[in-house]
Amino acid sequence: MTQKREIAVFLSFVFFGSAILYSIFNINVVEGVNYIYTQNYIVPNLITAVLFDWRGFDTLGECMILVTSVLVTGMVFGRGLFETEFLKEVYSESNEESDTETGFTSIIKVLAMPFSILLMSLGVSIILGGHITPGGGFQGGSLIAAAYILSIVAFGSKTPVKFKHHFLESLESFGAILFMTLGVLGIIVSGYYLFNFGDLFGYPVFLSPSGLENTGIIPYLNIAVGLKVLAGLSTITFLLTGEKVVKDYIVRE
Amino acid sequence: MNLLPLIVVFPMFVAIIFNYLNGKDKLIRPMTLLMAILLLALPFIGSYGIYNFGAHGLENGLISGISYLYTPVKQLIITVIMLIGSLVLITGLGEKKSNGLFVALMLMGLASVSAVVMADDLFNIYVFYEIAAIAQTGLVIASGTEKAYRAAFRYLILGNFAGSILLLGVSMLLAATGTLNISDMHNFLLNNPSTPTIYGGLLMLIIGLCYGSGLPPFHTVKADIYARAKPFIAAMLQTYSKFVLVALLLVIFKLFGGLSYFTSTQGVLIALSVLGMVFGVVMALLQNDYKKLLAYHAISQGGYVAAGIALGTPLGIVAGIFHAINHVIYKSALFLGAHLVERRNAGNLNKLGGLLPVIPATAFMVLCAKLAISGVPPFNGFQSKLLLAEAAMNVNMPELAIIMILVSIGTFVSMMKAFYLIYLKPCSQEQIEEYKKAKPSKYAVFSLAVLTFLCVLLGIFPSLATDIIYPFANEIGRVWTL
Repeated sequence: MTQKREIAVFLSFVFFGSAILYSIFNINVVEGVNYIYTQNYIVPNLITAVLFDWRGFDTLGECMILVTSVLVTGMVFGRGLFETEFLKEVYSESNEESDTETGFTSIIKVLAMPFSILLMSLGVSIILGGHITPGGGFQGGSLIAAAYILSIVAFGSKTPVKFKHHFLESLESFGAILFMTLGVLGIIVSGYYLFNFGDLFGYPVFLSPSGLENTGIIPYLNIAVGLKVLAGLSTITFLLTGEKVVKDYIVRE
Repeated sequence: MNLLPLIVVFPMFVAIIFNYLNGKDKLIRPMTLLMAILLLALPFIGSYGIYNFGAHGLENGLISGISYLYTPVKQLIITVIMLIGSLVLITGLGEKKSNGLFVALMLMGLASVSAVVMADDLFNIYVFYEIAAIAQTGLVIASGTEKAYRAAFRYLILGNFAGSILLLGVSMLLAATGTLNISDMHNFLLNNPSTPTIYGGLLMLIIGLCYGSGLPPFHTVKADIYARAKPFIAAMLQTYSKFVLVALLLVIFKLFGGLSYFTSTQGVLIALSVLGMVFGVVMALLQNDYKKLLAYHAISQGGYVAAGIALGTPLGIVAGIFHAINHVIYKSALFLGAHLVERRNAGNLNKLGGLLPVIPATAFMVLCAKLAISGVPPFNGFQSKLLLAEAAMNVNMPELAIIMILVSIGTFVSMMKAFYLIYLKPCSQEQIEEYKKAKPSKYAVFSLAVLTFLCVLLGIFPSLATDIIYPFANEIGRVWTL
């Protein structure tokens, strides 16, 4: 029985894989809408223009994927469950505090701290310059989160770069809400959601140095996405590392 | 001022606020009630027609940005989604704990499914499809039992696979046609010879569709999450997947309808839907667990919906969409009935019995829903199943109509079995005394009454819904016979 099953699985993998490979092998790219994207000059950085101007609503959706994943991750560890008996059983078994502090040499600790600070500064600069350089909110935000993860891995939950869990959560909500509010502002200005307006009542919304195009609200959208991503990824990591958080959730209810 | 995007954005905005409020019990209850009322107004704030995000409309003959297409049919579908959503939110008020996170995930799901329904852009559909998948996982986990965790984990792992396959399909179609807008892509496909890349894209769209809607080969995973979630949450989950099914099938029709190679695709879709119907009902007949029985019926009825739309004739499309609407109404009623029974702490049918004198009103309403799902005349299920059989006969496929009727009989048998075991089977006096202690939640009874009323209303006046769908179906459908 199991052998037959394995053969069936194998055959379906072969058929499906060959179908994918065959169609990828025959790709013949049609330029289509790309032509429009490359001809219109909105921001010096083309990718940012496509991400935040033409397809800004997709970026909002991607942010929301992250928001929902953070909600669900919190839920896995006991936040907002209808019943918590199951989790109480699971966590009552392991009472001893297990910390990742043991096992890492002091060399790692000495190197990790400056490195993660450097990474954070780099992330901030990538977010702030997202509209003129390659990169943007998502990349910068994940860099900052990576720095935070690095410090957690090296120092355990007693890391010097410590954010309060609730602070991270409000940061994330703030990022997502800022993005949506900027979109609604577009409706008020022009009637279209996520409209990229350059000036509000005659004042430019973002002061850029001379020689650059008026980038409109794109820098603000970058900052919103950056906040959201850095807080979201950090929250997930924090939840995965700290057993304390889980106990907090369950005890509080 | 066209406020169409607020249908998607407003629930998400409020979802984030609810996430933040979780734990502040006094605030959540009134806000949930307010939200449940506001949701009903949402479908009517947009105006019909094409809506371009960021004012990026036609340039060089192609739509460059993201666009939404809002039509009366989509308005009807979104109204039904929001109605079920608000009834489920009201039912959730009857729980002991007020739960901000549950409300947040519900709203996320509502927003994303209505975005999938409205969007006229393939990548946008993918993005919101992912949100819906993750939100559904969260809603299953909210039950907090070990089985729910397992089911959600399985769903998430397969979801990663199917979501990436769908994304690959979208990217292949983008590479082959150079645009993501569905109308533009259809024009391109009509005027250019097809390549293997397009076939690959179509295959992957169908896999994404099967996962999102619970057609085979993903039917067991989907049935598992319906059965393991709390029943009133399962009512919402099945609503999501029915409308994702309708939306994605219509997208495939819009993209490839009228092409020479599409007839074989239609054959595949009909085969999948027949498999879904038959597997669903056979598995349901075998179950001892009431929730699992309902879950497999949801799969089986999904097969009906897919069969109707996959026929591709105007009548078939009308029947499919109308059946989806009817199905979410009566199946939500059944799940709410299961929720009322579950408070008497049993999922196993053999341990229940004799509930009729305890909750006569609920029993009557559940009976109505059960008759509706089996297609008995004064209820809505009859009207849409009649239309489906007629559509199958019109394309000269009597076999399909016969399978539908046989599956209907199977549905009737298993539903009546469940009704007997829960409400009629004689049981001891002590057990009845014990049942009487647990008061049914008023909120759930209210929601159940609204849904039953809708069942009867749509059963007597089916033209309330079908009149809206006919013009759309005539536009997209194609008359053919075997």
